[in-house]
Amino acid sequence: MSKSEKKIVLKSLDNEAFEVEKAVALQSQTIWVMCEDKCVGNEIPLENVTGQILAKVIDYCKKHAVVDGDGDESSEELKNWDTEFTKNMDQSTLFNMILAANYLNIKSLLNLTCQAVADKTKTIDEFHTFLNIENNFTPEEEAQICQENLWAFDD
Amino acid sequence: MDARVCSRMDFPRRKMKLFRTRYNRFRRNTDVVKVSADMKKLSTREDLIRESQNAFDLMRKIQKKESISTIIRDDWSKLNPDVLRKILETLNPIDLARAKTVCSDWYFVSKTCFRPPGTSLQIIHQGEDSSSRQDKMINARTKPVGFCYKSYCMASSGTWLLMVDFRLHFHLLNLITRESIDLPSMDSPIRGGQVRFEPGGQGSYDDKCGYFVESSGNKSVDILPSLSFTQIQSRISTSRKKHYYVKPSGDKFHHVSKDIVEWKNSAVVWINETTGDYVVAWIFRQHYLFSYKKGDASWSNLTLIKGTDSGFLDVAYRYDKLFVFTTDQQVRIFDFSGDFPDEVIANNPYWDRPFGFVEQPWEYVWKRKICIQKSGEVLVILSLKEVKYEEKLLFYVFKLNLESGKWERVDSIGDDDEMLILGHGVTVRAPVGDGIFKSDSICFVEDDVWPDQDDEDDHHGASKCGVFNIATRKIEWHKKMCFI
Repeated sequence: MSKSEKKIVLKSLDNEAFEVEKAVALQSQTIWVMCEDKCVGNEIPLENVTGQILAKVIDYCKKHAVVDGDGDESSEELKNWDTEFTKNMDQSTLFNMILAANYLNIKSLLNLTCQAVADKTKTIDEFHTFLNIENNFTPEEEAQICQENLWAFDD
Repeated sequence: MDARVCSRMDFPRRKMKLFRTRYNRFRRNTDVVKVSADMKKLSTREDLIRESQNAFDLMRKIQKKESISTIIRDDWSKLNPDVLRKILETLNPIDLARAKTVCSDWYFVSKTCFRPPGTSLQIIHQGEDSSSRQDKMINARTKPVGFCYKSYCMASSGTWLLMVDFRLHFHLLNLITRESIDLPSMDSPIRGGQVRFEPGGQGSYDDKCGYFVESSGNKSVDILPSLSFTQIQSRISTSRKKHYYVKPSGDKFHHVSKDIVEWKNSAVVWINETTGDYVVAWIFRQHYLFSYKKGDASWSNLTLIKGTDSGFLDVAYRYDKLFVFTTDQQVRIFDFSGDFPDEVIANNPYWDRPFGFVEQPWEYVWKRKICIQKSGEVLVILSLKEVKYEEKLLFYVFKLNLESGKWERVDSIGDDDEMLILGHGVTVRAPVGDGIFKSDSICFVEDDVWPDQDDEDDHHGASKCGVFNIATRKIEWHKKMCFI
């Protein structure tokens, strides 16, 4: 197998190209299927992912590709790395990471990012303002649902 | 721009319309960009084409540049339901309940979340650490129904807690619905035995504690201080930290010897959430066994037919039967299907099959508990400390081999994905998933194991509850839950 076949170029939505080892890229089920079906050449355009996000995704995949090869010994270290990885992400990055992980179908990354967002969320107001979600309940519905879940709110 | 202009300019009408709606939508959506031309003022075809070209260019540029980051940021509520469900499933119950109330999409997705069946809420008390959420959960949920400073939880079943105060007023409390059921007072005559409860006076705290008075043939009167007093004392002396109860305001119990711990009370509550039937039983200082079944007029005092000298260690309830583990290592059974709970002898497979565990020199037993499996078999659980090269906390699980009549140690609780919660009385189905709660594990709180002499303040750097894996003989302590 020649060297070029081991590499894959991933192209982001904003036309940033990333050359990565095939083993790294294949952690994405989506890419794996694409390669398996030979429906793409060496360059894979990823329509839904920006370069900024893709760079992070690739970081993650690289880390995990290496460690998986090493065996169990560094699993603790990997965990720490994962925590650091998501720790300083802002909401928007995290959200896009989730979308990217979902689109690229990288299970472990999806789990990690979902967990991270779950850990970050706190109060209803935060949900509304921080995540920019409109409260679309009618007042009656809202009252009822609040009543149902009253126990979850501190005074 | 109206149709007349359109046709005059020979601009395909349909295309124009499409363009117009898209353009308007684009303008509505972008407040970042000031679009210079107003559509209505455009008169010439060139103008229009130029403008449209500009607008589309602009639109494309913006979409390229800001695409995901701005436009999708407004869309958390429209997140793919699968992804949203995944996030919601990782939330703890409190946050999940909060997330539900955010918007209707989240609410409906939350309804489809996978929750392992048959697992009840795990209530973790975190002592004095006021920043812990679990404490707040208890406070917030139960404040309105009098989860007051003077009552504490003796046992639980599903979402129900058996609560008692220092005057021996029992009530059942539902954590979720905040429903409360008062049980009859212990002051009223107790059926079946020769014991009655004298409530204490109104004076100082010591006086307030009542007494059990035994009157056999009007001769001897044996007085024992009531439950809460000693129990609170023992709790304090074990860990010097608050859990399960909140210390009453006037506290006078610091100097109590540790041997009172041995007299710790055990209780069980069983409730059928569909029919609302319930049975409560508790042991007072290994000496008395009291029970109450829904519909009874008063409490019953249960006594053993033979071996009245032996005391009671632990109780468990399943299928109309109360299993009692006695101090002489027997499993005795009371039948609750009738009016008064009678002891079962003929149908007791454990009759005269004492649990004969002999401690090795390096084994120190701390507690003996029983638990009933789905199959109805009784398990005896020993919490012990093994002192060989280093100290190790262990649990042994025993089961009676009905053929040989011997109690045998087992490595597995059963085939049915069962796990054990100490003090719960019955095994529960282990949740599916890769958490630390799995089949063949024992969930316990700090009180269930030998107190850690070396670092009583550190508490294993974790919370007060842990999980013991029967197969690997390893304990995993929970992460301390701090949310703030």
